[in-house]
Amino acid sequence: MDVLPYILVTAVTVGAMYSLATLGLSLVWGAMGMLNMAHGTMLTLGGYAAYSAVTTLGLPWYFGFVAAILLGALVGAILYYGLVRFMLRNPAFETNIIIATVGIAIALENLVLKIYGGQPLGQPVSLHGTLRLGVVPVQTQNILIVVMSVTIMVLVAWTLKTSRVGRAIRATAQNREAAQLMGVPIRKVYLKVLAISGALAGVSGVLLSSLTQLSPPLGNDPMLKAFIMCVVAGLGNLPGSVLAAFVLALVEACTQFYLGARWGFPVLLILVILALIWRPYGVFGRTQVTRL
Amino acid sequence: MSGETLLAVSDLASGYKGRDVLHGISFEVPEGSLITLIGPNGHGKSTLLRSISGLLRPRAGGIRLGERAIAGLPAEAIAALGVIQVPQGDMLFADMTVHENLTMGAYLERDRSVIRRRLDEVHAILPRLKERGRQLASTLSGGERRMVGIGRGLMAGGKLLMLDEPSLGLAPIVIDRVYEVIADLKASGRTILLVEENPMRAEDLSERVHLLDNGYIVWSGAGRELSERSELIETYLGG
Repeated sequence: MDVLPYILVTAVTVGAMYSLATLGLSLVWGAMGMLNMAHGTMLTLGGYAAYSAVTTLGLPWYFGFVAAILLGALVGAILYYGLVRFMLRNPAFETNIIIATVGIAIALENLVLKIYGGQPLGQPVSLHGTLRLGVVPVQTQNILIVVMSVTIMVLVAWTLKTSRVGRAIRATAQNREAAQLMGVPIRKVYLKVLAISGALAGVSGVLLSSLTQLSPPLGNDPMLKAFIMCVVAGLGNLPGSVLAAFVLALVEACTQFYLGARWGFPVLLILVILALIWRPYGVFGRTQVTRL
Repeated sequence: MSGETLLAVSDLASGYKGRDVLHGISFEVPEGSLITLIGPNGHGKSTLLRSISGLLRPRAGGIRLGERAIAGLPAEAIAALGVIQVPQGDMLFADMTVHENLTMGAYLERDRSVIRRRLDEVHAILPRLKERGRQLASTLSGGERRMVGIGRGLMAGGKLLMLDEPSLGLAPIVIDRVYEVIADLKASGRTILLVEENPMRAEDLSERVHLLDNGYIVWSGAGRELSERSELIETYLGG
């Protein structure tokens, strides 16, 4: 049996999920210089929000995504109003916010544990059945994941490129002070970026848990992978991190098939180390120059 | 040709981390005039512009735009009132094209026909920017970048244009071109607050020059007076 088509299907599905998780993390880093360590937990919250909407409230499955998006955006907004707003003016913001969001992540993960318990739950937002693409049978859920991820990424790219808020986000990312001097209200931009990133995390959480299971540490592994992909691509580089997500997912899938599942992550890390030795600022990154 | 006072700075104190860089700064910018602040590097010129534009919150003193007190407002609110700073070192949006940089300048303007008209005006003053419209800002030469910075400031359609060292780091022939543009802007009636380290280029254009030393205004006078007072230049600007 030729395994290559199966590897490709896995790689494309996993790559699509990684890139969605990476997109949210990279957006926040690029626009605000904020490494949001709670991004993974926002994924988890999205997964559970969908679970509650469908199982507890009895809503149709697609409302699971709506619930995840809304809760993700809300948590992003709360993060801004409750935390980021007060820390922004501090010159050590970039370091302080990492520590603060690690704390938030731990607190939120334990909140999920308290509410839902530690036992794994099945994600009800999931399509059943298989489709045949040529000779390869592909699960409908995998197709949903790829279609949704690609649609969302195109939507985000289009918003960033053409809309007023997108231009404001890009301008803030490229030069915060210049953006302010052009009248861009950067605090509102930060709020929107965190809300968008939260919504993206929410959707990723639903998609991810539909392939595995819901559990409080659900977001930790994708958070780690998303961080790795952001670093490989050059922090804040959106197209680069999406490409890195697909390439690394392919490498991971190949390694797992040919060398065994336990080699997936080590090989990924070795590649990352080599990539960073080759280009310390990320494969698509630029040398940063700071005026002292 | 100078009209009513557009910007009035009174007894301003400002600085970083609780240490004042500027002390008791007072001056006015009448409508339609070009006022220049000169002084050696590191003596508070940029700090003054940053305090006016709101990037830095002044510690004490007043800044009025017309009748309105603007000291301490956020930068975006001050920009919306029409005070536009063209920052030192251009600060362009490097990954945007020249055209996108210019339209970012008009971020606060929602009327597309107004934006198009301003773009035509900027292209008329700086025709090179039209040719370079689709080029990424990061690929431009130093002189072109400076022009984009000025063009982006003009796109805002503000009341007061503040230029922070527009000659910095440019070849003399390019500086000539930058000052031709500044002279054109003045001739078209725009109100300009100019900051320079070197008084030579600005003094003929300026209605009034203020000499900034160690955070104090140590001398104020007409532009031409400065070149007649060589001892001032020797003392403060090292001849």
